[in-house]
Amino acid sequence: MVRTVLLVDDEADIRTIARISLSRVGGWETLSAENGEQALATASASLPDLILLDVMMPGMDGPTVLARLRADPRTAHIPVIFLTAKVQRGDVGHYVSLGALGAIAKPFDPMRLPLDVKRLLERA
Amino acid sequence: MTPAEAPPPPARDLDRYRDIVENMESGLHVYHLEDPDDDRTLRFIGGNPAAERITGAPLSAFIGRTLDENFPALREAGIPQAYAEVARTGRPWRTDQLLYGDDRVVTAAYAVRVFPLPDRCVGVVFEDATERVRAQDDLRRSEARQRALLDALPDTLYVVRRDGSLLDVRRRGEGPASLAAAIAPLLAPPLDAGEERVVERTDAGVDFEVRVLRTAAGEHLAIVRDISERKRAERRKDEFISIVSHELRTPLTSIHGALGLIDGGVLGEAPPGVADLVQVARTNTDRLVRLINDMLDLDKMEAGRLELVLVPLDADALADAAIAAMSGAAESAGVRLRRVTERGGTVLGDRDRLLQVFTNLLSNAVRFSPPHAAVTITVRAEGDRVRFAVSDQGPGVPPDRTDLLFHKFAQVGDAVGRRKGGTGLGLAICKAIVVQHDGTIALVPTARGATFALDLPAVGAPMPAVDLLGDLRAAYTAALPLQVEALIALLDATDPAARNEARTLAHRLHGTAGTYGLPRVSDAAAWIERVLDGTAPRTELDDAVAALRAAVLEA
Repeated sequence: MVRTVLLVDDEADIRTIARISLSRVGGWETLSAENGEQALATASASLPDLILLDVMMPGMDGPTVLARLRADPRTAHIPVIFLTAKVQRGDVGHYVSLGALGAIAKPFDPMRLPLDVKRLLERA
Repeated sequence: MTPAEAPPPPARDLDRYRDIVENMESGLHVYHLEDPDDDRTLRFIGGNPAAERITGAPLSAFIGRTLDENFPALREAGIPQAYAEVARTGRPWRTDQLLYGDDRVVTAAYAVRVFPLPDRCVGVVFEDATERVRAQDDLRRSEARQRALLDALPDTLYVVRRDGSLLDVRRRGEGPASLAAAIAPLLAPPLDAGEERVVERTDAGVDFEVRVLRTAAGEHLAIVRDISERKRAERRKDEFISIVSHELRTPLTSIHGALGLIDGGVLGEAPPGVADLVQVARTNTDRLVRLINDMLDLDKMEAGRLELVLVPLDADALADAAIAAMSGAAESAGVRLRRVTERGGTVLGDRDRLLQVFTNLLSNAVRFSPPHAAVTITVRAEGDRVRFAVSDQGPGVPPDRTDLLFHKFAQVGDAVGRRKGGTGLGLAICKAIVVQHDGTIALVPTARGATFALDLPAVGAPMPAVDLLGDLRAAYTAALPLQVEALIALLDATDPAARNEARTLAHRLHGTAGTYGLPRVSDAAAWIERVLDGTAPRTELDDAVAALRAAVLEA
């Protein structure tokens, strides 16, 4: 059962919209981080039930963050969904092979985002 | 021969051959070298009527005058000197004498043979060679022109044989180091006349395009062009597009998302006026997002980077999936979507991309349909293709817009199209996808509304019937003239072995031509056979041969 979602994106506006969407539409507690380091620190400190992770970020990118999460026994089990502007055929397969549940394309519809997240969680 | 006063001995000698000299086609002038050490003393002593015709001047105009007085221009070309040499040494000489007009164009030319006569005389036999020399001159000029054109090209050109060996090279800059390796694969299988093959190679950081064409039998022209600059521009464009897509999409994602949340009532009900304005803003950001996605899609397709996953797809199921995807939009527009199957089939295609094509066509159809109208997808398998016809009952496409329909940003009635929310890229994308499927898409003329026909390759279509007999017959007919010529050659021979062979050949022709459905050839061969057997008169042989030739020509 998901109660807390950690949202990682370098764009403050996207964080705001996703946060409102996840909390108001999805009914989840939200935490947010604006880069890879913050994400790793928040994840190991708060142990969220799910992480929505931007792929392209300055500094540490999404796949690197995922690898670090998996390498840490405290965060290794937390499901991760990528948020990305580039979802192409083959990309999703690639992300899943990295250990993610799947990917959601940006721009996302905030009214649907929680629904898409739930679908990916149910499929897992 | 018109004699000069007190003719020297050679003129008298020539008198003996008067008939020949008077009637020959070539012009003849005879000169006498008076002083063996002075080539200015070549004096004209006679000529023939042909010379008058060719030079257009009577012999009397030249008589008694020296060669330099008659033709002053010749000295510059060394002609009098050469004549004197013939008179002194007795060795004949030949040359082309050319007269030039303005711009070094040949106005007249003579093929000249100079031969020695007794007593230091020379006979000059000449023919008008103006046409031949002019033709050669034209050819030279045309070759020079072509060479100049070729020199102006920035490409390296190679003329190569089928086996890749070089016949000729014209080099521009550095070509790829391993040229043979670049060209050889382009030469197999053999090229048809006019066929062109292109390959791109990168050698030591330089991009080359190698284009091979077949020119003459066994000869190919390989054009090697440095395309580094073009490649750099393409890479810059790709980078630009990727940056633009990211930079434009990121803020749009925020705007789009924020409006979506307000419009979705997440933050409570908005006052009526505000809700309307939010709706306007939302519709327009939707369009911007679509436009950017379309631009990126189209760019990918035009660059040939669209990878298709081709699988067999049931035509009906594909049409139904497209209808299901569009049902929401159709419902809100009050338009009914339906499928009619005249003959079902299976196509080979990429499901997602084909659905993109269908939703594009359906969305256009719905947008332009009046309320309560129907939009129909008709499925009909025809031979090795399956046709999907998407028809609506809208206003149709104005005739003056049909040409541009599949171009980028070419909308039907621009204002209408934009008001209807299209991006102007939909049909261009459809076409790019369909073309990559080896299919076609076109607007079909209809009395009412618009109908787009989408033809896609079918799976499991029957192979075209092989016309084996037709192929054999064509091969037989092609070889027929050779057989007939062989037969006729044998008929002319006198030895009994050859005549026997001719009889065998005629007999065989009689039989095979019948088999391959050429009765007239067969009949004519039988006739020759009868003549050779003696059952028909010998005198009929010529008629029989003529009949055979005519029958072969007809075949």
